Amino acid sequence: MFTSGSKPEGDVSATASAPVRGKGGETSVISPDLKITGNLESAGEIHVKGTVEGDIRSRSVTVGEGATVTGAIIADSVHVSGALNGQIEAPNVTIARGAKVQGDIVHQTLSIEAGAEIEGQIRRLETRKTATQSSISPLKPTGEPAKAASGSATAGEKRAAGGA
Amino acid sequence: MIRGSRRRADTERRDDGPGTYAGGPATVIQADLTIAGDLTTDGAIVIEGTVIGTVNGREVTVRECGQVEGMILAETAFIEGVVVGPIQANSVTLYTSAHVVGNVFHHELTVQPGATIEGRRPWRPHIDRKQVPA
Repeated sequence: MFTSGSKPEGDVSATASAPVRGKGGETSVISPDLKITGNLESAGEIHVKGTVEGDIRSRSVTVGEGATVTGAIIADSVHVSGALNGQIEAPNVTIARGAKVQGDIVHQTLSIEAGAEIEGQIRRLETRKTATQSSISPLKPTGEPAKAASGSATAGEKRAAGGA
Repeated sequence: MIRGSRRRADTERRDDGPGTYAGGPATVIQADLTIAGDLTTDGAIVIEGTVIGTVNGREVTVRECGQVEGMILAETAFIEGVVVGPIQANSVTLYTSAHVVGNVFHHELTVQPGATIEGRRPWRPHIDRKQVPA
């Protein structure tokens, strides 16, 4: 009935080392009642329906209706239908009708539906290969949001920059 | 109460679990997602990726490929992966592939053969998780 006592791959030392990795490739969903205070980093897709206070770095990010993101979004493809208070940096950006974006949009391809509310600068993105080669420094596991190498990354500074 | 070797295969709302979550589908942290920060919800969370921070949910599942470095605070916890940090839940189930480094505070505890725990397992009376001191 029980499987034979198999230990996780790798050693059983006190540190969490080399766990069995899933195949991934599916969308991570942040459901409406979840609040995340911290940064997200993924190689796949993230669909935010809840609240995120922090930066999101992924291949594809969707901010659903009713969702709130406070922080930067760096991805290859971003689709915003909810509230975003922060900078978007992606080659492919779509802002849908119910979206409220406060922050700069750094893009190569941009699509904005009539009815979207945007406050911020719209700038072109120099060509980059992947989401990891952006100007914002990599994720730190201490829980603090990533700081930009140039320009502003904190929500407070972005609000001021967006309103200026 | 021993639950046996029943494994949870799906990520949607479970009707056979200890109380069905009626608020919608669970949050799923896929294997390629790493979150450095705290998660707080009144619903269900399924973790197949990595969370570095506190996980506070009504029902928390850490899959075999999942990894949590930090405290897990829940009504019900199903652990199949690696947890480095204390687990505080009313009902804790550790499956064979679970590897916990930390204390497991529980009211009900189920441990399958093969699960490893490095820490104390203090029993405590059934409490409201919202009032548990961090």
